[in-house]
Amino acid sequence: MAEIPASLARVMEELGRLPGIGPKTAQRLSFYLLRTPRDSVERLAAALIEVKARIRFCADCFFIAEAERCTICLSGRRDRTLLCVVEEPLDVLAIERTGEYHGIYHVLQGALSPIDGIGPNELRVAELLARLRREPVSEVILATDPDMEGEATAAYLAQQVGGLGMKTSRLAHGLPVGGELEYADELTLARAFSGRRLFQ
Amino acid sequence: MFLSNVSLFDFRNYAELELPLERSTTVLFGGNAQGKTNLLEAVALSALTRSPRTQQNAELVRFGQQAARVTATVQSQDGLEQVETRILMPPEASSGRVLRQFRHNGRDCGPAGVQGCLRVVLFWPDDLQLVKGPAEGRRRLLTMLLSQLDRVHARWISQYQHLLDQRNALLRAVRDGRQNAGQLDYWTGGLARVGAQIMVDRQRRVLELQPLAAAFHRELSDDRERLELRYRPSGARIGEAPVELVAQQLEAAMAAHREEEIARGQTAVGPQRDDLEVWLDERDARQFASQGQQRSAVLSLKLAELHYLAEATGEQPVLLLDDVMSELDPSRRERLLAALEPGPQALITAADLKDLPPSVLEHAAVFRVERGTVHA
Repeated sequence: MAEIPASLARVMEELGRLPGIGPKTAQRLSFYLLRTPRDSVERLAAALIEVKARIRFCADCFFIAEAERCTICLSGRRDRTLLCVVEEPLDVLAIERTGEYHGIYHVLQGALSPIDGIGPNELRVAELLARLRREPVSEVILATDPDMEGEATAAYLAQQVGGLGMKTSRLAHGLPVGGELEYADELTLARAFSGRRLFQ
Repeated sequence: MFLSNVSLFDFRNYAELELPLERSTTVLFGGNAQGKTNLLEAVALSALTRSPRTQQNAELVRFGQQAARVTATVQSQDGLEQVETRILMPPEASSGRVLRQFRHNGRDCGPAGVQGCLRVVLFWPDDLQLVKGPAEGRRRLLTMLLSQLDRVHARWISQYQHLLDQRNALLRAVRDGRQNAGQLDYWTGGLARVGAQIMVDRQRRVLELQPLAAAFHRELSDDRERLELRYRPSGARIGEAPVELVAQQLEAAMAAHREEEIARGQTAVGPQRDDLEVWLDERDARQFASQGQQRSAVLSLKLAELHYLAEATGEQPVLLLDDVMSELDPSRRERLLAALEPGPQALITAADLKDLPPSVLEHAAVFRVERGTVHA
């Protein structure tokens, strides 16, 4: 049986370590790269090296940054009395796309999950509490995911933040805009009911 | 509703099977370990999204193969629906988990997308221990019945299991000094809320199931014995209490057991510890019921399940009878067969055709099951 050359095997192995990529996909990607012109492979390699060299996590909020602090923390136009807590950097990007929110963020870099050995010490919780003591925040918006881990994390944070004397809020759960009621799943509908508001 | 086709691929001992079914009764006969129960298990899996027989999904995949598929075609009030369940083994040399995937009418969906398309009542030899055996069997009966009636309940059950796994992991981490006990409250609150929903659902359904089971038992005992189902929630007193109150009770009960929970690394109260007691003439049947009384009680429960599902949904479920005819004496057998008359589709297995009365065989499609193949 023909053996796979060591250099190719190494590429497969490295690609196979990426999340969501199994051995089959790693093989396919490796052979794709072999067929690809040299300069585009070099561009990819250079981009990977550059992103690793330049991007780090913001020293204040742990969002992605190209300097010690991210562009949001450095901006003079953000409302520093509002702080939104999220699990991942991607959540910041999603909220930014709405254009609705002009406060600052704090990225926990995960959620509580005892099964995976993740407690408050494995998240950026101590840093959050230190920031809240230091900065003039009047409202903390807990925007962790609406799943079980996100809910437990939000409950934990609400209690921790509670003693600091600022307002704590949680993102609303409810029906998707533009959706039809009859197609909403039962849990979403049940939650939308319990979170209903007076008509204004 | 009725099953018009079952198709298997690398499921248990079946390499490939295509089995068109009639609306009437189907009899599957053959020796032990030939695949009769596996076939009924595949049907139950399509209805329940989980095997009623094992929690180890890897067992469902034929030995040495990578994936199993079960496709059930169901004719119901809602028209023709196809429920496909796939069990995928993790790639070799990876520590990944066995995955379940679902398709409804050929489109990918979650378990909730297929739940309720097919409803079954399963009666198999394990059920003969239902009255005196461990509470787990009686909880399973409730979960199977409620999940098929109510997708939200099925979601509560899987959320509860997930939260329970998280909380138990945290209890062990606290015991071993890896995490702080202060975090427990945040998992306890969520667990108690979901647990309370399950308990309130169980209480309501048991109260509705009770008169049906009592009526069947009265008939089976020639009007001599009174059967009663008593739901025993663990860590809460339900009665008429609203969900919020039950959640508070559960939370308080967990707090009261905290030391014990940490020491054992396990949650001490909640629906995973519930019981459904069967009482006969004001006495707990676990203590004294004779074998005959137990069988009558089990049969009454199963007939009640069948009628309850039919009443609640306006449609007959599919009845799966795995090798139980030979376990029942002629009079109980007659009563069970009478339930086939108004019309649920039934899939019946037997080791030998002699175990089945001629009245069943007369109108049934009969197949022999042999080493993972089915033939007429």
